[in-house]
Amino acid sequence: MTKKQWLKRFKKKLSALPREEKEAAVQYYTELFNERTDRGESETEIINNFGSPEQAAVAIACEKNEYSKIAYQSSGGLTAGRFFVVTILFICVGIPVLILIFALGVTAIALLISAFAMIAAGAAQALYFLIIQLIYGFNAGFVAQIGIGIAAAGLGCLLVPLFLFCVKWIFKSCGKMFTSSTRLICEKRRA
Amino acid sequence: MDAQLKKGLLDVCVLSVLREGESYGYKIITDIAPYIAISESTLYPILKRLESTGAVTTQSREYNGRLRKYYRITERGAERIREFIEDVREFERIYEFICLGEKK
Repeated sequence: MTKKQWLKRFKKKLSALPREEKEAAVQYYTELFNERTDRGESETEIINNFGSPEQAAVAIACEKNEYSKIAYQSSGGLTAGRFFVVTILFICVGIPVLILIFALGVTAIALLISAFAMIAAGAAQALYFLIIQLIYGFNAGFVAQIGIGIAAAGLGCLLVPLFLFCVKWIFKSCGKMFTSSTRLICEKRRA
Repeated sequence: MDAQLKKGLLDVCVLSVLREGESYGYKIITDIAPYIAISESTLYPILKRLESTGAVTTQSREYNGRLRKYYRITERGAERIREFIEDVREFERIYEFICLGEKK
């Protein structure tokens, strides 16, 4: 284990503590790491001297009466209490978030389809009035209708890249939202 | 040694080191280590406790381009040492009573 890995695990184990206290503890061990390194000790020697990050975290937590939280975090299995908390969080947070993500996904796809539909409708209108004009002869109204159709198809062509960008953005946001909600659940589970 | 007793002793040992002048984490450990077993993870809660009870004050200063936290004893800390010495004298009387009481 390296110094960086030790400090990372140590910090993770202290996540139940307030930020200031966590930072003070990390600062303390970082300072000692540096002092010992200056005196020629290797990282392995220092880490052996410090013990495991879990032991160091528990020593701090014992003083703060936060032992139960740290010990709870250190235990590996899914206890009945933890299972209950995870289930409640999934129902209260997970399901609404999943519904929201699904709704946003459907909206994104609908936007893209609407742009293609606009192209198709515009082209169909232009073609229809072109045929009508060929059958019934030249008419200014028909020409105007063809123009409207071509304009609609053109607008659709412009909207496709814009909506495609929106779709990508919405899907990326969905991904971020999913990651954030998973992290929230994990943090609540630790707390 | 009893854990609670050792805890109390370590508090006073740290204060005794600081009575000689301000010091920092690593030096405190090396100063105490020849007399009583102490590790980094043991010292941190002691320093926090002493700080929260007003027995020591802290100041971070730059050393070799990085921050080093210095601890300084306060009047309350010095009082704590005096109380401990009083307690030890009382313990000595009790010790004599326990060991020699029947012979007197």
